[in-house]
Amino acid sequence: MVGIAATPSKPNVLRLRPAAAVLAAISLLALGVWKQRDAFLSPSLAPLRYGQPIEPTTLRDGTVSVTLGSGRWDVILIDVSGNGLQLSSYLQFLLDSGRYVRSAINPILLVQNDTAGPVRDERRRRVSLPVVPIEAHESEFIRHGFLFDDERVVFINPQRRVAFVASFARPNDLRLLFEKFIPRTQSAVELRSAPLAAGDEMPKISLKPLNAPTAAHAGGPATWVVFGGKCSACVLSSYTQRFASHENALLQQANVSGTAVYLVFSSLLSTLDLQRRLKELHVRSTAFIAGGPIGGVEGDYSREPLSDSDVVVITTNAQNRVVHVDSFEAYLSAMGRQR
Amino acid sequence: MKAQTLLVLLSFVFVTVFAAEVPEYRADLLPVAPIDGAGLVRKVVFSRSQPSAYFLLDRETHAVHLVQPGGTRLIGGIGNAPGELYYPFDLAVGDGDRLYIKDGGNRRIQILGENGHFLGEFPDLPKSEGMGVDNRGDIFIGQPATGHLISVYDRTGKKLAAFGELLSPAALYPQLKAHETAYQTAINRVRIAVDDEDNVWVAFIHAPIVRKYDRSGRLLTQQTLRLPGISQLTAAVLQAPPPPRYISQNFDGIQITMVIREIVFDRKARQPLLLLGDDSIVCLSRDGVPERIIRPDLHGALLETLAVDNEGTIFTSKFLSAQLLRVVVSEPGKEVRR
Repeated sequence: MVGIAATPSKPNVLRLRPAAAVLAAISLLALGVWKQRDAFLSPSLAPLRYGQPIEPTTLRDGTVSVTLGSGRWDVILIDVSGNGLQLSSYLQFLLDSGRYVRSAINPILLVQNDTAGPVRDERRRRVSLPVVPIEAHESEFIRHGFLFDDERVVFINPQRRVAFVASFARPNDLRLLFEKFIPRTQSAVELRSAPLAAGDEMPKISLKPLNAPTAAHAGGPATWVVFGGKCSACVLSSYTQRFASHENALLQQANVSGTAVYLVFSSLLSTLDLQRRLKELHVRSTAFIAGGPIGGVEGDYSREPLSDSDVVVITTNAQNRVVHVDSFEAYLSAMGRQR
Repeated sequence: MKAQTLLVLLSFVFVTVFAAEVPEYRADLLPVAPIDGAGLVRKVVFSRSQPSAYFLLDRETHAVHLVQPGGTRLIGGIGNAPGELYYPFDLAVGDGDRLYIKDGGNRRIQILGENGHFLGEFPDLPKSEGMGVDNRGDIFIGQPATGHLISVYDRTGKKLAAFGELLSPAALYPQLKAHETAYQTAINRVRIAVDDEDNVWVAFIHAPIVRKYDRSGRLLTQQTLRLPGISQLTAAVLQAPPPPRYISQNFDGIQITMVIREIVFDRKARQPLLLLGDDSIVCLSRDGVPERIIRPDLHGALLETLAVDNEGTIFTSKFLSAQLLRVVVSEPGKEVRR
């Protein structure tokens, strides 16, 4: 008789392992699908494009509640780490200019990496339009087809279609887009301010110091080097460098004639970028950023330079009257001839 | 590859040591009647069919101004729609005054009729620089990121061919040996002009080199410019920050000084012209050899564009300006020495 001895059964490790692996894989896949659910549910995954229909989407962030696709002209700017400050400041200026039907516009500033610091402080100081951090609403954006990709400027028309989308814009472009799309409150005729000329009174400019917290314009004869905002990259690269390379000679000449030298930058430029640049170039002259349009140098509304040059040098006398106005190039070559 | 590197290095040494004598002439810049509403001139191309009419590409108003004796007409304008432009960067004019526009901000190449009506578009991918069009309407664009210097497209955007060997960055600038990949595309950025026989002239923006290809892509000639002052210019190419007396560009994430800013073809004299980074204008022979240098009196300004009308008159414009200038050689017969 052959008996079968019962032995305690051991779990078949080899048979269980594949099952566990399959289970783990399914779980991981399910987790992945769940995490990407917005993408799967989204009807369109392409980046925003011209003519695309927009589903109204309301974002709530603290006390702010804004709707994209509001049925008005949505003007959406995206600021990544403060590099859109110049444009958002100009949007604020356009909104405050009173030239456009305010109720027709729904401005929104979406901000990426909105961390506490000088950038956020300056943004709060300059703009009062609704500011919404992107990260907190990323899931909602994807679900509703707002794939901004690297698009930083978006106009959505009252028919809820993308009317314009671009990865970059300058203030002048925003002005052109407003003129093209947004209804105006008054006649479209733009009065062009007159450029400063010798004998004019130096206009009052609201100035904020850039490189010396307590610096102030002391009055009396002065040489003003005014940098326009038409090309911020040019100011930050070549124009400031050119100034720095001639600063010693310029200060020497000013010292001989008993005048002070002041640098004034257009309010369209970024305070932080300018401060960084002036420090980098070891600029010693007192520098300011304008608080608004620089009368007689840039257009009141368009901010276009009123002369051919984007950088002008103005000398004023003790009575605060303009003695000379020159382009930077002309001033330097005249200075070279004198030397 | 090693032999090619050696050849380029040797030619650089040759250029430095044996800079050839090329006659030089001074020139005045005379303003042309201002164009109402123009912002910043990016490029000017003369009409092929209407004498003295020209197309002015304006990156400030995002439009092309068609300037005719009877008045100016605006083509384009800011926007994404067909026929609209956003940061147009380059312009070529083909047969029947068809406009081929690199619509940079909209990342496309647009084709418009002489009246501005929309004829077609195709994506500008990978991002191109330099554009020319031949008599058949085939479009030659600089796309080094594809592995070839030039890509050829038809009007529908169908890619027909690609040609042109890329330069090795380290062969031109030995300090780039460790950064070959990073600089590969940037160093191979070009400007393009197509001549009356449909040969394609290619000028490297960041190297003093000009090539001539036939329309099938066969290399006919390559010239390294041997001119006084060219070594200062090439020495400035990788200088950081770029010297303010030259124009630099950041097209591929790297700020590099331009050695050649523009190449155009003079249909009357049947020769190509270059605008160099030191603001001199160089007339080349049909083999690409420098024959004449024109040095305009600039008064501290920088030049950005170069154009030639059907009568062979040269035009230019200053950097960041709306003003077109006529180049008038002061004493055409009198050669000057620097």
